[in-house]
Amino acid sequence: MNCQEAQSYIEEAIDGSLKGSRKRKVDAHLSRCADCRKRFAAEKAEHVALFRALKNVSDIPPFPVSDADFTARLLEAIPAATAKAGGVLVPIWLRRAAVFALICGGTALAAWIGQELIENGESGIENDSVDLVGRGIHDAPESSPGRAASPLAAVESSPGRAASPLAAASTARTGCAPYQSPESSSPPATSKGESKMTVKTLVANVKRTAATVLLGASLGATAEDPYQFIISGTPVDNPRRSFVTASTTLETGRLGFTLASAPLEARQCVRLATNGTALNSKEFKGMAISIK
Amino acid sequence: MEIEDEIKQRPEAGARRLVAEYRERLYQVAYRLCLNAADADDLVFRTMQRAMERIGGYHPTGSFYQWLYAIMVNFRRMDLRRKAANMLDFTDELPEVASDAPAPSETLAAAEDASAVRAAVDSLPDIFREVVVFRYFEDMSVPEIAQLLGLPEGSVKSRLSRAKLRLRAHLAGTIEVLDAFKQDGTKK
Repeated sequence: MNCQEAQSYIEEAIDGSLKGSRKRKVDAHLSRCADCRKRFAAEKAEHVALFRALKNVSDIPPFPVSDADFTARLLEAIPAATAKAGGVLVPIWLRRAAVFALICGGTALAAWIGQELIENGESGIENDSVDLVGRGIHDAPESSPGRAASPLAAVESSPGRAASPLAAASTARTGCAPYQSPESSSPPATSKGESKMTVKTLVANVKRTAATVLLGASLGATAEDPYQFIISGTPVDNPRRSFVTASTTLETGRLGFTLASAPLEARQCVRLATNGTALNSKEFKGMAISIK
Repeated sequence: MEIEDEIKQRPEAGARRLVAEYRERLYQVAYRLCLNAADADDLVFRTMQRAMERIGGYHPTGSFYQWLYAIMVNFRRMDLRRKAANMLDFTDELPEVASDAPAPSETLAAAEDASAVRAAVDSLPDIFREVVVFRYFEDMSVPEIAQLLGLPEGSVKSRLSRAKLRLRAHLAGTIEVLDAFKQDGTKK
């Protein structure tokens, strides 16, 4: 066995998985090759350093969700366990149907939507088609910029929550930081003379690493009165950072259009700002936003 | 009672035990893979959910941890594929570190500050960080990692070797240019 062959077994030699005749050959080579002995020793020292460094978990933050909440979510997500516990099962197809209904029928459901409502995605669904639906509107945010500070309270107190399969599927406790949008304080130019960005919308707490934002709503936008939308995001772990993810201008109002397909960073709050005059209308309030 | 039996026979108690006994270690590995708490927690959640749903498919040939890790790795890869499909990612296009990178004893093993080593590990591209985490955090052998990741042993060793080259270079300060390039790329 030459040096190159011997060194190809360094990792196995270190972890003890080198066995039999191969081990004997490597050992024999090491016994007569000082260079390889030195190299093996250095690799072993490096192995120990890496092991020590990674075993030190002092830089790992605590769980974002307590064991009790985590377990409760887990039980909720497991049909067998839920059945045993006497819980009510909501089949995935029904949840998806509900999402579709929410997207398409946002107007009718506007009544039970709070002024803001964050829904976390049902992380158990592997299929991407309906991973998350976030809903929420600030209809008068400029007079109340701090409203987003307690999004979870809004979720908890939402009257529609108990009746919503989506809400039932969601118990995560990660919230978004208060919204302080650079876009809303410095609205981009629009084609609407005196209009300005008047909406600061806390939309969704994205669980996935990438998302397409779809808006389902019947809006009154026209070529003469277009709405400009801006999607911005703030990573949950760095609430001071905010960036525009995508922007688009809508010139027609139609149901279920795709606003933007944009890469979103993991676990960020997504917000939507618009200059649309239908801002305070039921249509806009009922807008559903799905992230997939 | 073994954990798998408890999950089968008493799902609720099994879930509590799964969380109480396995969550922390799984989370630590997940954190090293994801590099943020929220994604790590989500990854652990999906792993545990899948484990409970598929507990009938568990055959105790390896440890229960290894079975959980295999589930976790699959989810993680799915996430990365999804991310890759939606984001510009120059990671794979990064040039390899020059082969004259410093020898082991000069840098990595000599690094007294463990946090510097962890930062270097965190800077690794996903496919390298994956093997490094299982190798050094979980202290798994080459054959175990190969089985877990579904890779030939040669590939595991190759990734380990390349990962260590990068770590040495990072700790020696010679990889900064590459990192700057990576940041520029992902901002676009």
